[in-house]
Amino acid sequence: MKRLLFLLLAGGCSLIWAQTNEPMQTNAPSLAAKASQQTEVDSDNAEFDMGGAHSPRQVFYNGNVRVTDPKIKLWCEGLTLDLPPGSGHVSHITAVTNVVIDFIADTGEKYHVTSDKAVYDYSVVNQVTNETVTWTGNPIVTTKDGKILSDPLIWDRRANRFYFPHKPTFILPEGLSGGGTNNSGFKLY
Amino acid sequence: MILFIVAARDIAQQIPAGRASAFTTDMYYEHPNEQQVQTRFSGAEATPLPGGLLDVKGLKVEAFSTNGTLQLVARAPQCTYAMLDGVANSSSHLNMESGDGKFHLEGDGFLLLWRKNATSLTVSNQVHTVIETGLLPP
Repeated sequence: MKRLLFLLLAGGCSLIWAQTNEPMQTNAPSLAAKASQQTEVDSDNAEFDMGGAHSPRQVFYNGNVRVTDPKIKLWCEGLTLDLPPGSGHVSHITAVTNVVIDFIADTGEKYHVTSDKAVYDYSVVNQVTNETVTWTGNPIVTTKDGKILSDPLIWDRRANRFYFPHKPTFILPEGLSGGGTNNSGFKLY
Repeated sequence: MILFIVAARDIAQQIPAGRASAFTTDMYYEHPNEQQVQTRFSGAEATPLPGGLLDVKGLKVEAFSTNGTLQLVARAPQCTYAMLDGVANSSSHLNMESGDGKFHLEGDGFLLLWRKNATSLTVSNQVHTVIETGLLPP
């Protein structure tokens, strides 16, 4: 049974993966879903640091943390949010311990990622928006095309691309043949 | 109502000696923003308890930026406040929201450490947060 295919990619660094398949079929979002972009966070307890003149306000959620968002569902044991002054967006998020994230990219692709830790960073430098998620601690990303194991695993949300600083391992879903070639449906750069 | 003022270096505190209503205590930023209120602790009513504690009804805690903009406000129906230690706690429900109203947090039971450059609020149980703008930008 050709269940597992390991493609060890030579050459090392800065490997990029983008999906070339058609986006997964998704239901058109309802008007209510479009109108509501709010995120809900539930946890056993939380600590709110009110910050100071030079330190950010932060919220530390602990125990059975669950994040529900139109595009992201996240489960973990500890979650830290850096809250920017004013009404800006959250600029830094750290999730630790038994991190599970289900999210839908803007292209409609669905991803399921597990890891020990995930860090989200958002910044705007010289009018360029940088927005990444970095998973560490045995990350595994699962799509309909298979799984990829890479530590660390970096997702550029703006470009919708995954980056693998080290050699990743690919696991194809059952039924797909391998034979040492890249017929996984993943486009490798 | 009888009040007297404790002249602490960074905190203007009014300790009610009897049953008090509508009291306010301010904590200020350090230099060069020493004229700006950093956090404000207020209550609709306060009753002295043994051990230098206060039973505060209608608690309200506000945090401001250095330009005076309201950053967040927290409200609870009751707490026990150790003013000289800068500690307030309660088993009651707490609501908190950001100054622009887009971040809401609530839970049951809390511990407030209200100290210079170390103001934090721990919510003990069933914490629920709503971020109106969403966690990630569009």
